[in-house]
Amino acid sequence: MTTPSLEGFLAELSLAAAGKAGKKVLEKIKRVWDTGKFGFSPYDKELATLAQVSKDPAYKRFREIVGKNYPYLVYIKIGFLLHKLTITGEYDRAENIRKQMYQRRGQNVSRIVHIASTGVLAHVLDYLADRKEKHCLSPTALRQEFDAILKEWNEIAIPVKTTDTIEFIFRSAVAIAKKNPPRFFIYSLGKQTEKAWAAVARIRKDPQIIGSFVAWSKNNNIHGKDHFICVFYNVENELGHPLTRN
Amino acid sequence: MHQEVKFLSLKEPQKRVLLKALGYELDEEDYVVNAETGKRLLCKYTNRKISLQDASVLPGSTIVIGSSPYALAKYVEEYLED
Repeated sequence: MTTPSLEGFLAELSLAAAGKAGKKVLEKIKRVWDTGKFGFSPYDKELATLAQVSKDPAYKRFREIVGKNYPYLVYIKIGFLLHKLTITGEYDRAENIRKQMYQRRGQNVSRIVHIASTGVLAHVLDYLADRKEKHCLSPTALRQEFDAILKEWNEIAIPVKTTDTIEFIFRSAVAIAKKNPPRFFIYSLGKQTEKAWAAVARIRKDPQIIGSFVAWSKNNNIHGKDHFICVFYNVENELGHPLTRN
Repeated sequence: MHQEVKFLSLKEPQKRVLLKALGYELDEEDYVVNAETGKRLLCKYTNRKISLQDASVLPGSTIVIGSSPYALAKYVEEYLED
């Protein structure tokens, strides 16, 4: 059988839909379908986005580490989809999906969806993968670390907003550091990134941070927008992690 | 490796034809039913019945699933990830 064209296939479908074809056309449609060249979904673009997410380097790296049976992988993909819908201006659809996730899937899923919609999830996954490689964390430890980050996110994350000053970001970071968490995050998008850099430079030199926290940061450009994340992780926690391999 | 697949967005009459060609019918409420048994189909990922409006069909198969983000993401996980 020759390779079917999309136009030809749709023409066959339209013809049959208009009642101008019978059993033979249905059989032909089935034969074309069986080639596996086409799929069908009312949300074809979203499906394509989800398929793209599965090829995202940060996602792939994280998946390799936690294992393909990790139950939150499916929600991480949905989180990436939500971010894409938000930046392409499809707010109603994004809100609809967000509601579905919040209502039906429990607290951790809601947190993944929330973090993903800020656009910072890919960087968190990147950070975790980097930690795994540098510090020989076991897959179990990494899953636990991710679960802990989800649970504590509202207390340990500083999103840099338009109205925030460098001083405010600095004070917020020091206030979190005083509580001695295993790690805390500062992240920014677009124009707020320069302010975030300046605040992070100041935080790194602060006596309350030096010797207690080590910084890991990453700059990225996603869909034409600057993304920045800095993770300050606790040295004390780092040395005594019970699940490190070494 | 997985071959490149094109996902189509079809008009309602085209969907009806495609489902029919793949061995399905629609009941009086436009839910997808197995043409042989007459039983309503359930999405393998969500276990929910599938309406004409909600149906997605996986490439190269006759498997019909619902189109919730969860079902689509599970499909990607099962069939498109290495």
